[in-house]
Amino acid sequence: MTQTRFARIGTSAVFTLIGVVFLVAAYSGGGAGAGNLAAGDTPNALPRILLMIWVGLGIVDLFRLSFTSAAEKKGEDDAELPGTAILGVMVLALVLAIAIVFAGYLIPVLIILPLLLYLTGTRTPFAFVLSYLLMGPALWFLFHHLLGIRLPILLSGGLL
Amino acid sequence: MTIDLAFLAEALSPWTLLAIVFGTVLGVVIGALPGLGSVVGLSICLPFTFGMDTVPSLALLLGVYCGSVYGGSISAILINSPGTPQSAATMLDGYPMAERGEAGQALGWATAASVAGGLLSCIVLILAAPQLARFATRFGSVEVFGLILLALTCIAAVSKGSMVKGLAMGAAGLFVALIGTDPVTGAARFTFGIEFLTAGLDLISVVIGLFALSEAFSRLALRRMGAPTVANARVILPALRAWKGRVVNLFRSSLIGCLIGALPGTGAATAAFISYASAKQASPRRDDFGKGEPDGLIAAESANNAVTGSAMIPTLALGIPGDVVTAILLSAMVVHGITPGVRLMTEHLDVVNAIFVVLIIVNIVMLVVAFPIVRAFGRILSVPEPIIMVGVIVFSLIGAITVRGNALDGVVAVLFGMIGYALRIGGFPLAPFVIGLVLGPQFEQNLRRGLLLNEGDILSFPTASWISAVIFTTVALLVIANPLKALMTFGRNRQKQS
Repeated sequence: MTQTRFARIGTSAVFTLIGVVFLVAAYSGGGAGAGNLAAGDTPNALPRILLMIWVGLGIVDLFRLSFTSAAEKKGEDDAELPGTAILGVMVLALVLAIAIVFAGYLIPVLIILPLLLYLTGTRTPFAFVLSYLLMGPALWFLFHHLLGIRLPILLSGGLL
Repeated sequence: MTIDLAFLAEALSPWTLLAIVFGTVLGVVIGALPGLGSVVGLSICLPFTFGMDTVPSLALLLGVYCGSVYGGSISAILINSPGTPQSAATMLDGYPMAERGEAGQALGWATAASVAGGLLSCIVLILAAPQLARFATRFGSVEVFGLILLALTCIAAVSKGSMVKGLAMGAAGLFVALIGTDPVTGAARFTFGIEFLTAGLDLISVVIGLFALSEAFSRLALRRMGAPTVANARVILPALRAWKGRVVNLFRSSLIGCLIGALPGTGAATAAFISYASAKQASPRRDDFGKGEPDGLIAAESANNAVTGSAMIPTLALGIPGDVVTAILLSAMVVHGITPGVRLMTEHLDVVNAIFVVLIIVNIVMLVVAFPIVRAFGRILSVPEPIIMVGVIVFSLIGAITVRGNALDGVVAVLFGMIGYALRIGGFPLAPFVIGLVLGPQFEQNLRRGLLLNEGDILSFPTASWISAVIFTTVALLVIANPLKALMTFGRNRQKQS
């Protein structure tokens, strides 16, 4: 089994598992109210049907991936697998998004943006500084002050 | 009969014109950069529209949309790398022309064909959308429910990868749209006690995450450090006499683009390849196709740009987007308090007419801005791709945060970016998920209303009217066709082996 094929089966398994978790929640949540029972209509009726389709098709896909020969799947297996740096980029992006909730937009961006630029391979000082200034303070000024589109702030008054 | 021309004032206001020019320029540049397509372009432009009036904001987005479809042809011709998937067919004849020193002429053919295809599709949109909307007044809850089901099945059937994955993604998208408060009973569904989820997930944040962020993650994972630079490129428009014998091809290809664009899920790439194949069959110069034949360029470029207008037909007339791009445009309309569909044609006719005018202007502006952008292309391409992708991440976060003014939407966007990236690796098509997400509330509303009207009997839906019979039969055929095809292939393989 190739590494990419393993990744495909893994993704399909996780996708199906998430559907199963929601399906269990749909049946253990008590139906979320009665709705119009005469019409067979409850708030959880459609979600349950959709989750069954989700899980059912997920299982079919898992079977398809597991039992189809590697030769037949050759065409699908040409995707490239990620490098380890991309995981760092994703984690940094998530940290940035969470930090914005608590510390406003400007400070987290000023701290995390250089890390993102460095991690993605920007090493030339000129390109680094220019990108940092344009994507950091310049964008903040453009949106928050020029366009009047308010970004999250740490201190009331809009300075930070 | 008097015609209210107030929409012209809106469509021709300085702000709208500025938005058109800005959007088109940005769209062409984004389209020309390999890897960044219409969806990423629209996603990063969304935050700019929140502080704008309805028509200028739609003008900006339509400019980005049409511009990016055309922009893809620039890199396809000059560096043999399509900026967008829609331009893959352009590469077949565009790059060979550039190789033999006719890059200017190739860009000229591509520009002229793009503008002609775009304008023709505007005419089709203007003529067809009101008729379709009038016809759509016959649609009740059952028919609308069936139509959404048909749209999802079509998209799943033609999505990259397997139909099983496409349908599963469609179901997942519909389900995620239902998270939050039930509109009928007010019960909280799948919120797990998290207050933020009671209002449901914000559509735009999810779309930004799934498409723009996951695209940025994918491109960064490939670690491409920039594309080759191109010096001294310029557009040389073809002379009128050069069109002799090619006009029929232009019209045929544009019409193919218009027809395919109006179907859900097919898109500009399919249109470009189908019209390329049909032009090759019909052309007396068919042997030159693939070696730098302008007819091939005309077919590909007029068809992919003709999709832009006709893809708006089901979006405006029925409120059902045919692809991710029109889904984003639809959600932008909703943000501005406009609900596409039958009522749009009666209640917001000024906006619809303004959209028609804007689309025509966008295509004309495209012709003008092509010249300076192509000249600047070498410099634009020299910006390293990782820097552009970090920019996409920052813009995406701003976009997600500013839609509802809730910083938690940024977290949702990044989480969906990660999910989208994993799904890409797993070979899952993302388009059915987004279409499901957009249409989820409408899907549920019409299903529940249909059940009430039919005493809870869902099996009576196909016989509710002749329209629903046609729709549900088509859905059934589409669903049955795929396993049948798989079985036939399996049988053929078995025969070969034995």
